[in-house]
Amino acid sequence: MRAESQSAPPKTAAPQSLVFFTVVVLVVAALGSGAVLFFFDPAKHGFYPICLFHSLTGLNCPGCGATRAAYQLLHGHLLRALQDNALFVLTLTALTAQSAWFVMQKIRNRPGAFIVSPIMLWALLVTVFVFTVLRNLPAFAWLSP
Amino acid sequence: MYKIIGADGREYGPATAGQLRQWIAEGRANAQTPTLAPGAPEWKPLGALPEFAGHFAPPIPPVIGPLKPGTSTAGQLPKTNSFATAGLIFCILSLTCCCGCPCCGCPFSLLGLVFSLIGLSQINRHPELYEGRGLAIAGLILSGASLVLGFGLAFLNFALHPGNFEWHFKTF
Repeated sequence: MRAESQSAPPKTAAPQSLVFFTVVVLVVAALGSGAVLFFFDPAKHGFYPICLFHSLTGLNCPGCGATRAAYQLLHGHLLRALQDNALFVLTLTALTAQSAWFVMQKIRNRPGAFIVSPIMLWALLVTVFVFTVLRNLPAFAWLSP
Repeated sequence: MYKIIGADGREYGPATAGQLRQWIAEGRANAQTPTLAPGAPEWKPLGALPEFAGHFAPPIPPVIGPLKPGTSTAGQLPKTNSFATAGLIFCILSLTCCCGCPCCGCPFSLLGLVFSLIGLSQINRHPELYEGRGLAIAGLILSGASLVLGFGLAFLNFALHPGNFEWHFKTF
């Protein structure tokens, strides 16, 4: 039996406890970083990691302003968050919408998978590059924090 | 003797029909598991083999019929490799974080590199089962680029501003 189980394929579905553990770790990490962000404004406190790309080149990277945008979002300032990093806010919105749909499907016991389609992934990749170039051009400076 | 591809993407077998039934009972194989029946020319989902059809719960009747007449049954179509998808997601994450500091971006680029490599090797081994070679290759190249960029920026930062480095050390 032991020798046989070694050559047997693994279970097709991940064990329930592992999925639960991952979800708990993710939720705790999100709540923890959310709390730190809520009480310490990234624009005023210096302990947040600095963007090396920005400090060396003066250009804005695609992630620049995301921490400040998250702070503004937590305080309900949607417009200021969009100004800090529009890409981050829009991606977060899309992710939240899909997660909500997924959870609803699970609750109502309907089939539904958290699908990331390749087309959307390619689109996101292209958007990240276009966003990075645009926000560093004078005409689109409003995309920069 | 049958051969199957497990959930980890590796080949298992040759196994007897009895062994395969036991794997189904233990949850190691399901109706979607790719199977090579003895003498069969190509891999088929386990549920499509008549000799194992009785071992699976009756499938949920499809709400919508097949889009095109003559479309083969579900499971037969190649599906996007999940490792390739995860690899590209981590690579996008690392691209937006690598600029922050190498210590934030590196875990993402390393994960992107590893997942893309696994995805690419699975796709290469079973091109008839998986799609997403482009995703895996893009993930591989961009993760590598972000790793190089992260370390390059860190070195440049140290070379240009050695004072910054000392300051970082003194704070801890």
